[in-house]
Amino acid sequence: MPSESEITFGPRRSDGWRKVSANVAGKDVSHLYYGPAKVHVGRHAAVTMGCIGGVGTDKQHRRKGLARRVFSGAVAAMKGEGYTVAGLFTSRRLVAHRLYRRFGLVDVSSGRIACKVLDPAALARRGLSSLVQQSPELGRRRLALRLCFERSRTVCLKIEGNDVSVLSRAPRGVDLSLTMSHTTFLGLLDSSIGLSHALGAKLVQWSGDAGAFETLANAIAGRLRPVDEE
Amino acid sequence: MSPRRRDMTIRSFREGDEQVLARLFNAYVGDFLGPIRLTPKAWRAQFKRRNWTGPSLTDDSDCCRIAEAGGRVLGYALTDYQPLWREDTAVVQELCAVDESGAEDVMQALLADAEQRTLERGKSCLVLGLSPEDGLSAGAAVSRGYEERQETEVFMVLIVDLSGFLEEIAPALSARLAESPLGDWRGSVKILSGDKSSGLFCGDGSVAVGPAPDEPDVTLTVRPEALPLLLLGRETIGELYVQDAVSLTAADAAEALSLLDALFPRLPLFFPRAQWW
Repeated sequence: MPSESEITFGPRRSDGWRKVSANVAGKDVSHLYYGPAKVHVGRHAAVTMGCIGGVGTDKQHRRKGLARRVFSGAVAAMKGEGYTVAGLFTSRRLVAHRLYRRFGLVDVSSGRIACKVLDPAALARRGLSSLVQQSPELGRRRLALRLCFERSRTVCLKIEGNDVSVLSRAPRGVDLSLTMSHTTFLGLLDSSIGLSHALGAKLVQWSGDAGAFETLANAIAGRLRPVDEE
Repeated sequence: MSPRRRDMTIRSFREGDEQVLARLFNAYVGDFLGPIRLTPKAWRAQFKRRNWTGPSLTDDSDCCRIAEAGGRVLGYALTDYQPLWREDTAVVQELCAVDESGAEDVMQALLADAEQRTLERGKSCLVLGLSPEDGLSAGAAVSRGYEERQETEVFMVLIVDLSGFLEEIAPALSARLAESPLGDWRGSVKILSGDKSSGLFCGDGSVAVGPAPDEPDVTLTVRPEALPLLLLGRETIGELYVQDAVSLTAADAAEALSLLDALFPRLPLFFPRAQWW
């Protein structure tokens, strides 16, 4: 229970960082660290930012409001110490992101990044290999796949016995043909895009064996687990 | 093929280069929100040893490639070929060029060089960990065939002390006001956001910060979730106004919007990965 916890502040290290923790029965069960940085706001000014990191709560002590108490304690201390703004880096895939928004933190980055696929065949083979490793069902299938990346050459691959290989030429019979951009393929692999969303938005088009597609879709869906560790 | 000045060469980092690279970095990121200005020693210290935010130039000087012509540095690219999060990917963390004509060509040449080295190291993808809001590097990226995609990493902020924050950026507020058509505007602005309040007092070409005035010329009420976006230049007053994230009371609302637009302009954000914590 929150009422049984005590918020404590650790000593300031030589680099200005300190730990704030919630202790239950003398044990640190929820904490964060903060430290200073002069962050520039354009050419003429800099602000004193409290950089927050190392946020975590023991699994058995989650959903008790401890992280909020630690965060509120840290923000109050920061204000007293001359910090005017607090900031942290996190991932939109983390449950913690939603928690931070409830604490009043606001996303300020654009959420976009540029990338270029230099070797589509290697990317396709590595991507499918990682899927096969995580999905025994996909690994058990024998599949000939054609991946058509927009603005780039087509890559033909074979999945057989948990192994993925790039074929130098298109086989006679292809079980499954998929057309998508590199960025969509990367998004599916790192779970930033869900397959159903990609299909709905027509980012992915496919033709061929429906069973093979379902197996592949299940393998991709298996990667879409929210991460709640922070 | 990338366009390239005939006399331009690209070489790897050498100890001592940090003198000019730190100067170039500081000049290049001058107008951005985010980056911490660095001394040459501090710039070099970021890449002493490999950690989760970047490569070690001590162990791999090829991670920093420098474009120069006639003995003068034109730009540099700093690339992490072993990012922790994707084994088949390299990340360009910094791409800076001297602010002069041909800067985009220098960046294109540095990107072409990084792409070649990425392939040589058996990686299939090159990601630009740069600001998509930086027109120069974004232009070079588009010219070289890069595509934008969603990023999962996000930078989040909370204004802890509204008056303290405004006092810290007061020099910038004064400079922005002086450079605007409303440079001689005199009056007060009351800013309200949740349980926070503060006042701006404009006159004699400068902006001072104080407690919220009782009878302000302009009253700006900002939803708490919009406050960092406005103060840090992530969204303009006009954008927030049409979203009903701010409300305004003033005798001349159009002039008040112009004033606030001048005081809180949009700022491109760039947090170099080496400065993440």
